[in-house]
Amino acid sequence: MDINTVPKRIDTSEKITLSDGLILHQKKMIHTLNATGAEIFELCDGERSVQNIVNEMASRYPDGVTDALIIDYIDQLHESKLVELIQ
Amino acid sequence: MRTWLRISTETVLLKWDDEQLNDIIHNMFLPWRYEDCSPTYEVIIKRSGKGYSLQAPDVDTLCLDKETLVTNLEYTLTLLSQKIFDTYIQIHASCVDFNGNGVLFLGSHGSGKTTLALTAISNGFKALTDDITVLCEDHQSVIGFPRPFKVTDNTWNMYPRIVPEDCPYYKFSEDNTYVFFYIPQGSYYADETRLKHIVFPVRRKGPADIRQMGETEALRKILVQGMNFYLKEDGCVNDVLKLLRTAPPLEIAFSDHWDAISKLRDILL
Repeated sequence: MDINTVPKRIDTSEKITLSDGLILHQKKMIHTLNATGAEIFELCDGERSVQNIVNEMASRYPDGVTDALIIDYIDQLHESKLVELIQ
Repeated sequence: MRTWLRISTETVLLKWDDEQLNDIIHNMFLPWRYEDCSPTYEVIIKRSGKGYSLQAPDVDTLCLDKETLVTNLEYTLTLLSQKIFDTYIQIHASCVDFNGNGVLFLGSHGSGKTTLALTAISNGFKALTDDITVLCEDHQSVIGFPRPFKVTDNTWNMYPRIVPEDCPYYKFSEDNTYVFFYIPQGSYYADETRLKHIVFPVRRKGPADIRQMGETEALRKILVQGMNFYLKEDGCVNDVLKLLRTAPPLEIAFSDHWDAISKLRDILL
């Protein structure tokens, strides 16, 4: 994935915030995101590039999440049709 | 010969013409037996050649022997009950009660739901149901699904102590794969209970260990392992969440069922 790509959340039919994650209810599909996944998903606002999101998550979790993991996760969100890629 | 079974607000009349079936039918569905009244549904069993014919709403089948008949009868009454409980959420879980605290054991086939429930009954718990639990509209109470407990032949051979001492069982033959247990009314059986916890059993070596689960993890497990979990047209996610917030989810890792139930009792006391 090109790190200059800009991911943007696709509107789902229902979004439910849990104490430790997020549920996205999209027609007959239900997606559950853990807390970290939910943060990445929220950062996909159509303005931040993949690189911006990686930098933001690195600042929040300096020892936690690797760049490759974040990029892979955004790719999974795209595969699941939860985000679209602009550019 | 006939008996009436009470399932929620409906009555099912069960009729049969072979005395050899008396013991099995009376005992398998003993907790749901009812006094005679106008039935909503009828299930009829007749001798047919060397076997039996079984007729019910949406069912008309021939069973070659008693064993096949009993299996089909249990399946037919399960389908009928699911139809009666159509507007309720039905969860793929066994359920037991300890001093008014209900516990669901939820998991995929082979995870230990039935074995844990039977072990619980031998340790002072009451039975509600094996395999399917019906959730009441308040999302706080559950009721027993009218179905006898049963285990596979393998489980029966591995855990002969799980049967309560005075609880009769029926094993057809060495070749049959199921052993049915009759859970009689009285000390072993409860009709309804308020949920306290949802428990996800996991087999793991070592002493039994119970941990709290997060909402996301529990929700995912229910949606994936719920299998027969009844999905209403408008989606069940909110119902599942209400359930999780009523009855906090726990994971119980165990290798010995008695150890697991002992730990669970400590939490519920």
